[in-house]
Formats: sequence, structure tokens, C-alpha cells
Amino acid sequence: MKKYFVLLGSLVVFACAPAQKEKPKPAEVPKSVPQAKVEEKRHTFEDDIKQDEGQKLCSNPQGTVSADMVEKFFQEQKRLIKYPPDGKLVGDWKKGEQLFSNPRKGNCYACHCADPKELACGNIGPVLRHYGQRQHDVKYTYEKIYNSWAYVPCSIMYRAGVHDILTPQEIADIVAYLHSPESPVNK
Amino acid sequence: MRKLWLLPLVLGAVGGVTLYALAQQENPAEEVKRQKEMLLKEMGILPGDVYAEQGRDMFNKPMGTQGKSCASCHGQDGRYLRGAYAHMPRYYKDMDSVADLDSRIKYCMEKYMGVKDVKHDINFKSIATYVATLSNGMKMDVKLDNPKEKEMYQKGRELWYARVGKMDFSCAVCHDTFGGYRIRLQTLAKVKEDKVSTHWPAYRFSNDQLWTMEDRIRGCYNQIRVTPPPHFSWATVALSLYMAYESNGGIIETPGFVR
Repeated sequence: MKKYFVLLGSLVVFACAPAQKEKPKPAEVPKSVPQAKVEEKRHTFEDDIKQDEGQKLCSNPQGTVSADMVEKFFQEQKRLIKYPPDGKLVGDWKKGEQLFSNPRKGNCYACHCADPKELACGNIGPVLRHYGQRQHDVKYTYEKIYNSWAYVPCSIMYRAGVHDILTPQEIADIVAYLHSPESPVNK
Repeated sequence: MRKLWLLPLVLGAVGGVTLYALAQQENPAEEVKRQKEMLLKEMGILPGDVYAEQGRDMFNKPMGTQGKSCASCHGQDGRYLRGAYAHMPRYYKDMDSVADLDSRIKYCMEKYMGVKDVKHDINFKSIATYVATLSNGMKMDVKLDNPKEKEMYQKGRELWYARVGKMDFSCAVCHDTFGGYRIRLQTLAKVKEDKVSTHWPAYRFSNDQLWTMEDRIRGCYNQIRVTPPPHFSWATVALSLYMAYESNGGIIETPGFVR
């Protein structure tokens, strides 16, 4: 039912949008602020395809690094990992559930199936059903989500923490979603 | 008006059923076939072919300040353009650069017809689609004879393998390594194996739009959260050339019909 309210809410917003346009309030909005925002957002394609060291190493038809470089590659990638300030690697699984499915945040269902109720899940990554019963170390799970390249060189799995797509706290929440016995993943 | 609250409920229900139906569909090729048959049954013609017909009209119609149509140079119904698309993108002497289908049409419209501010709109895409259909049934045969073609191909190849942006994706990880797998319920195209350049421009039934290869490339970059390269830019030409060359030997069949 909550979903429908959200939908209804968004409809209301859409319905109100033209009405707002007709009545601009120039006095209240300082002009420099929105302009600055637009400037900030204006990336170009050339900006966005600039690569970091790891990306450069992975950009080859083999899709990986040579065997003699793997060890060094792992070390470099491990160094990029940061942990939550309170040191807790397991957060709130309910928050994790939201982040896991949110296309603007984790978007994990794009590649992984986990909760059997989620039918629209991809098949690129391994199925995470009953992940919590697989005896994985929570530190491993955290680090894997933060920087998958610290475990599989040039993995297709994006480096959520390295690129600030998820904060350390948010990653901890997803760790909880995967490990908690209460989570639908493990039910 | 009072029943407006019902709308989200109905939308939700329809969405849910569609999602469920999609999840049950094991074979995406079957789904495409079914959609195609359904549209043909309902309308007697595919939307892509309607656009191509519209493109034919535009092709024969004078535009711009020079009072010329595409047909003024390329013959009524483009008879001198038969097979042109099979060798595109390629180097053009008058431009002194490599152009894909879209960039070439833009150049012609501006330089020879005097059209100002050529936009990549539905009329433009219809013309592009029509020009592509003039090579239907022929083999894709892109050559890299000119040094600029080789250079552009090399740039396209680099872009193809470049892991970029916040998602660390490259074209290759999705369309080589994981081609045939699913992102959510969307199956990723096996770009080289299936020689996809042979069926673009294409009509996409999932969002009822006609797309050229440039739109497809921009769409992909948008999805991996990289600012898409502008239309008619070096990046779209380079990737188009790379994919077209990799599609050599495939039979051209445009407009494609895709999800």
C-alpha cells in the first residue's frame, strides 16, 4: 500500500509542476545558486571517460590483469577500502534492503537475485539466496561490496565504495541485509 | 476526477502483471517475435517501416535554402545510394574526415541543401533509416583503407574496452563477456557475435521509439552513468565504425525490431 501512496505522491507532484511554473518567485531565489548548480553538473563525455589507474589496467580485451601483476593489483585496490567510523561492518538490514533494490543506490538486483519475491533480477552475478548461511566472513562481504576489484581483478561488479555510490555506513547496511537471519535473503 | 486515486492502483497492478509476465519469459527472442506478430496483425505494417516510408518522403522533398532535396544528388528514391550503408562509417573526401550515417546526412543537409541547425529529431532519424534500408539484403562490408579510417577504428576499439565512470563498465564487459545475460530483465546484446550493426537504425517496441546507432551508444553511456557523447561527435563515429567493422559479413536488414 505504501508503494501506491508514493506513486500517488509523485502524480500530485507532476500535476503541480506546471502550476508552479506559472508563478515564479524571483525575489526568494537568489539567481547565483541555481546557476552554480548547473555549472557544477555540466560534465562532458571527455571528463567522464578519464580513467583511474585501476581502470586503465583493466581496459583490455582479456578483461583482466596479467598473472604477475595480480598481487600488486590486489594490494592497490585493498588500500582504497575505508571502513565505517564506528567500525561496525554490520548495519541495519531493513535499510540495506532499500539500498539493495534502489536503482539509484545499490541497484544490486540488476545483476544478482536474492529475495525470492524480487522477480526482476539479473543473472550476471551469482544468486545470493541464503547468502548468510554460506559461512562468509562479514569483513569479506563488506570489502567485496566496497571494492570488488580487491578480490577479483577487473570484475564487472562496480566498486560501490571507491566511487562513493554507497557510503561505508550504507555498505554495512547491505552487509546486514545479506547476513542477517531475519532478512528475506536468508528466510 | 474523484476516481483519480484509483489510477496508481491500476498502474501498479498492470506493472506487476507485466513484470511477472516478463519474468516468466525465458527466451527474449520469442518475446520479440511475438511483439512483431502482434503489431503486424494490428496495423499491417511495422512502425519502423512506417518511419522508413516517412524518410523516403523527406528524402525526395526539397529542404533548406538551396531548394534541393537529398534526391537532387542521390537520385529519385536514392537510387545512387544503394549499398552505401554497407560501407559506412567511412572516410569522405569533402569532409576530410570519417563519418557515420548520422554525421554524413547532417553534413549533406548543411553543406549542399542549406539546412540550418540540423537536429537529431524523428524526421532526421526517418531519413537515416530510409537511407539504411537502401542497403537491405546486402552484406556489411566496411573497409579500413584510409589512414583516417584506421585511426578512427582504433579509437573506437579503445573506447570499446575502456573501463570508465562510476560503474567501471566498458562496452566489452556487457556486450562481449556477458552478452546474452540479463541486467534485471533486459537481455544484453551480443554485439559482435550477432553483428548488430546490420539491424540499426531500429524500432524499439519497449518504448515505441526509432533509434539510430548514435542513440543506442548514447543510451548505453547514459545507463552506465557516463555523460553521453553528443550526437555527430568523434566518439559516436568511432564506436559506430568499430561495431560496423566487427559486423562485416552480416546481412543488412533495417529498420531492426528490438526490445
